[in-house]
Amino acid sequence: MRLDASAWAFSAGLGAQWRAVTRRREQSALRRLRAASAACSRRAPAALRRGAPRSFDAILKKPDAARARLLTHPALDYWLHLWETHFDKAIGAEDWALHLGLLAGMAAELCRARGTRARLESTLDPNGRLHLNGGPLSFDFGPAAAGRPAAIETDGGAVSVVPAGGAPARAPAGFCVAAGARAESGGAVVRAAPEAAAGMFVESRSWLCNHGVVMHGLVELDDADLARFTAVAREALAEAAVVEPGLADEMTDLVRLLIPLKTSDTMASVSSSYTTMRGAICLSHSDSSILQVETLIHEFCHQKVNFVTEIDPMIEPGQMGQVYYSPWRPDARRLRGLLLGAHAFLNVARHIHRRIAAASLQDPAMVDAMRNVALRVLQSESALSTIARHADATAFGAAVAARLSQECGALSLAVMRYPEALRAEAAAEAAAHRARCQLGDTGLYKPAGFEDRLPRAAFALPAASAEAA
Amino acid sequence: MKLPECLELIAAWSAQRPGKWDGLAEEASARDAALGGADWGASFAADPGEGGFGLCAFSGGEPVLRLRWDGRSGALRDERRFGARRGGRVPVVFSAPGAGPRAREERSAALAAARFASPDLSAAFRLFSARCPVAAVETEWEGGAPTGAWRLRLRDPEPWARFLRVDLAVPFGPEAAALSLVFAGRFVRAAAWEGESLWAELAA
Repeated sequence: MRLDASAWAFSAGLGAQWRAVTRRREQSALRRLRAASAACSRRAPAALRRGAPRSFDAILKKPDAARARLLTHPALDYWLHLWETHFDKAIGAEDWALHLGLLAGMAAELCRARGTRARLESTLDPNGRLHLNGGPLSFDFGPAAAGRPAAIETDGGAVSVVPAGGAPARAPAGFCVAAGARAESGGAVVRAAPEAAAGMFVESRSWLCNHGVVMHGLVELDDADLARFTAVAREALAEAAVVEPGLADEMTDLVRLLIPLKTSDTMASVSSSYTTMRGAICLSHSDSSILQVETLIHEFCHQKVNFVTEIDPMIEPGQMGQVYYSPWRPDARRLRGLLLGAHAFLNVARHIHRRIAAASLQDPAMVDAMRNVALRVLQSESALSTIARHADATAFGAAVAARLSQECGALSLAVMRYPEALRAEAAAEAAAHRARCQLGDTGLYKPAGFEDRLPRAAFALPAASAEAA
Repeated sequence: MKLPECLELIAAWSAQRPGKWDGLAEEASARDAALGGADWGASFAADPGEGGFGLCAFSGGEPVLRLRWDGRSGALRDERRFGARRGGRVPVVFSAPGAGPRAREERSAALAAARFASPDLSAAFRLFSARCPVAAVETEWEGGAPTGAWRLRLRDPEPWARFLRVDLAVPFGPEAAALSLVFAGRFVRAAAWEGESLWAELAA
């Protein structure tokens, strides 16, 4: 398939290319899951070998829309990552039970969504919970129940979970319709995670989905804070849909989980996303929907690049390790990171500029947003220049970088309509960063304390020579 | 390049980091005179702790002498004298201060035919060769056993800045700015591993 650089540099909505890449990802997940199933039947502890096939079969044997959604869910992505990185080693029976229990939760969600009858064997996670990852439903039996075997029964959209030696907890069919629902049943708290958009849940308690979040602190929000977080995210996504409908469509299709992060001590917004959990965005709460939409677009863009690299890596292999000057950070970054940065910051800058232009370029309340756009354009130009100079891009990667450069040009022109002093301030900040962290204009990173002691020919400007004389 | 150009490169490099380089010019000049004015290349270790660089004299494109200098002690670390190539093998006389000369051999093979201790290393070299095509893998042997030293000789010398981008060159990353000031416009003819450090061998 020949990828269209414009559609991947910016947004084109859920067209044929998007669907084709999604299908490729589904096929890849299916292949990986089949390999896991085969290995599991050979190597899993004997006690688990009887129950595990039912979970695998529920996913592998019935191709339908619900399965397609699960195959591209970040929880399954991460489950497969854990499988592939750990389960070829000597793993204890408890880890096998946990991992297969997590799979049973996803298989149960599939059966719940299909309305089919099934009985699956699972294990409560280290927090004593069972999440039907892929959907909103979870059962919390408390930490004392951690690691306990549990049977899951689904029938007609209803779900029952019976931990060994415990009472059944039940979520009736339709429980998940009321997103954010909470009930007590059989000694468990049954919850339905709230939705920020259709099929995009806010989840702060899933052991599987939290396990891979390592860059920032996690936070389990109480019901009130969860509602507030969700409301702002919902508002941000609705605003994005007004400005760029295609972008919003892509976001709601790819992003299935929002994972709340602890707000940093400096109260700055933090966010992250992971290549091992495509479709999950981690972000701290802000009451500003503008800030949240910036963060969501930024992290979504990283996810989108990770998504399309299923087909094309953009930068040829063999040059992923070396680090270069990054205009956004005090430390050096890889070439791929620079491309990801330019892609994300330009998408955000374009979005924010459109919002500014739709409001008023003469509105003083827009000054911070304008400054942000002006600075991000200069930084992105710098990163794209480093990529052009140092990276061997694939044909598609080169086309994406060229499209991003064109957008840099268009935004540079648009920024000319911003206040001159504001532009000068942004330019000074970008230049100061370059002077501090880049060797000249080379794209090479200059570490703190670097001293240029290279011997050079003596030279003085004519004016300086005359002055000295 | 001729020895004076190599020594200027080394002087520029030594301005960037502390070390004892004074005796190197004298040692190299004596050998250059004995060789009747050879072509030379310079090599540099990625690890700053290694504090070393080397010089290699060539005749007709084949190495005849290779010196390694220890910048920490300010003394010659070792010296290799190369004999005439026969097929894929070159006899080497290795000597180091305080020890007698030892007979070694440098064996050369195409990357596809070379055998490595680990599949990871083999995969890394294949990736490297996709960006910087490798003409030959040279390994050093003594008494029928490999010494652990290897060299990837490039098909075409690679501009320093382009060599720097590949994963194999990552050990040079922390000093990329300082090194690039010195090596701007130079070409890498081989990447080598000796002891605990990666070396880049530069040509004009």
